[in-house]
Amino acid sequence: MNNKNETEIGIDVGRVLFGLSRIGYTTSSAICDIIDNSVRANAKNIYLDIIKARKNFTDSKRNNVKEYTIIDDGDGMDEEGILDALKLGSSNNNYEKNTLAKFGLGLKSATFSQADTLQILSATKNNEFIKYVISLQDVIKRKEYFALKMQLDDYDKETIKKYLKEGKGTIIRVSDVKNVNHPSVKKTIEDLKLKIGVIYYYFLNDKSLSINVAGKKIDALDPLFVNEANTNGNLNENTWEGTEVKWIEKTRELVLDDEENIKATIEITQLPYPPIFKIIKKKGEDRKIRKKYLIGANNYGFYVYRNKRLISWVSKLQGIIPTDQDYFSFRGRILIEDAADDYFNIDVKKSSMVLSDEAWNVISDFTQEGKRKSKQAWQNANKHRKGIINQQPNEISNTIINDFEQLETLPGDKIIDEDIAIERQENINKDMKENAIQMAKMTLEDEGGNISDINELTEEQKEKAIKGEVNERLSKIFRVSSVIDNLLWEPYYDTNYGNCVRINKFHRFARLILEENQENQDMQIIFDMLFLQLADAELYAYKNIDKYKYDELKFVLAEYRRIVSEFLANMCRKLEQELPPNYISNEYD
Amino acid sequence: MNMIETYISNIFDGMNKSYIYLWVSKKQKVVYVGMTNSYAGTFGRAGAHVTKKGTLRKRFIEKKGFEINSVDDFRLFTYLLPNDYKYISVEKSYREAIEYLVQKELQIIRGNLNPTFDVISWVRQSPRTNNTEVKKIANEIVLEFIQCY
Repeated sequence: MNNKNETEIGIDVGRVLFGLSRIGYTTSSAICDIIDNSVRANAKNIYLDIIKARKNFTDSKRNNVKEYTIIDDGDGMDEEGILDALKLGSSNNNYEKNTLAKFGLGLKSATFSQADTLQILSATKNNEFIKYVISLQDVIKRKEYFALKMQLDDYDKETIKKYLKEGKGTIIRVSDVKNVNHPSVKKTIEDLKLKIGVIYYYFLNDKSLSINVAGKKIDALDPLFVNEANTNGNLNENTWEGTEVKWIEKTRELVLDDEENIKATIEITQLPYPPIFKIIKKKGEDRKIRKKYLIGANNYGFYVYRNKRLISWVSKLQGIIPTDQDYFSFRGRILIEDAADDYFNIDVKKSSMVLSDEAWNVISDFTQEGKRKSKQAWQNANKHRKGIINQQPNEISNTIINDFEQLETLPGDKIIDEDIAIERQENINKDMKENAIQMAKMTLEDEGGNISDINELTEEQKEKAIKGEVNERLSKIFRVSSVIDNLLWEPYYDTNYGNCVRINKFHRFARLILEENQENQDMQIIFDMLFLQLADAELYAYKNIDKYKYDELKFVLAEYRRIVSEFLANMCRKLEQELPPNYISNEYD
Repeated sequence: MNMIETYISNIFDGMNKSYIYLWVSKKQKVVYVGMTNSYAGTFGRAGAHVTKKGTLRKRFIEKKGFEINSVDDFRLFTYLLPNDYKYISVEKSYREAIEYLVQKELQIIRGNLNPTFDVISWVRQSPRTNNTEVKKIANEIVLEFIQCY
């Protein structure tokens, strides 16, 4: 003691070690931590052997593991290195960028969370293997932390011969496994296939690392399924049917700290909506999709990779991603480098982290739009599912109106001369043809595209431009994304469809009916019918009212549509909280 | 007596016009994005922003924890939208889409600007954010803003 006021308190190393082994490891996460050391040692090949206690029992039997052996062909360690690795709080001199070994506790706490004995055998190139063993029970008994140097036995030599032909590398034996509530071999292999595939996705994908578990090579598993998103393109939350992986945000670089040049790369995809598969394919198909895309309560949110190694299985990032089933398809990835460590404080268990305020703000802001899209898409896919089960209201209204014919002439209106009727019809045809070009242009723009030559449009594109979607059940009433001048509705006529209406589904009033009151299908059908009659009436006037000139009628009726559209938009804006479904009916009793 | 001289150009002219505007305080590191088709332009709209219930005042105090009154370096950046009916109409989905994209882009690039800032406005989502023209206009506004910031 340097100071007479200081007293050495001492430490019960056995209890400390026991305590460290209880910090929340599962079998697979403990093995992953040990594998992480192998990656740190520049291993190209890592093998996990699982030795069963009773070999004749099936892999499904719980509490039947004798030993886990993790073998890697990495740099290996000399005697000093082995002893350092066994030390509690081992040095981080060899701390590499692609690992999490910041605290020097992983190997010991991971091993003793699962077993009573840790054996370590290691050799650097051109040197002999050296073996040390730590027994948790002996440490607890002696209250002293020590390792026993041992000779290699035949089993060790066999393992080296089988896996480490270059004569270097490390073997970790997690032996005398505690078979109390211990998972089956099958469960551990399943967990590891998933975890390793995701954790080392980048390494496995570029073939710089190979990991074998119980004789089977683990494949890289991208939790964002980016390859599929690349094929399928960007998410349109209003039209997504839930069957494909889509991009929400393609890879972007965010600046966390400009002065320190700290950056994070972020990307977000939308994974499929499983319930739709039950409808469009067959019962049970939804379960397969959930399994394939890992869709569930524990898997949505952000996967954070540090130097290409996963450090957080999935994180809601302190509330950035709400706990809500509507975000189940939201899958984000943040890639950081070690320089960003202070912005993503990593927990000793390596399973959680705490964002700095600045990082939280930047990521939260960036994610707002993606979250909205994901939720909206999920809800729309649900609507789509319901729509398949119960025909969409828009299809119902089209079906109802299909065989209906409006009056040819109203009482008091005279039948106009044939010459004038032909001229009027020609005017209508000409105007509608021009409008159709404008409609196609607007539709393409709404989808983020451009058009250079209108003649390049395919028949399908033309149909989509006019009707908003390619759907043979829609014959008269079309809900579209754009109407000229962003008005609420416009009439449309051509010889194929006859008199039709195009309703601007993004107009504030249409959104009130179609989105905010979507549960009220009857109102939607009546809404469709009303606007078809408004459009039909306008076309009737063009064809039959000859006391006004065609151009005058056109001008007045277009103005009327404009004024009604604006009045309705203004009404929705001012009475937002009082219109259905927000109003409280009792207040008006 | 310290005179304050404010250049307002013609941003009070909102007759058949609509604008995207940004309130900026470098000292407080805040930016507020808004849009208007008010006949009194962004200058006319400004009054409402600083009333007791004004959104700029409210958002500022929520973010910073103190009243807006002490800010002495506010600047108002105004961008005139195209003279097309869909941008000036009461129905505002196109304007909202531009406003939304401008805000979002500012959130992304703010780390590159000095000083960095918080975007304190809350912008309504619009279904029109995929529209080509809307994206182009929003992009131009952001680029111009970066030049002037």
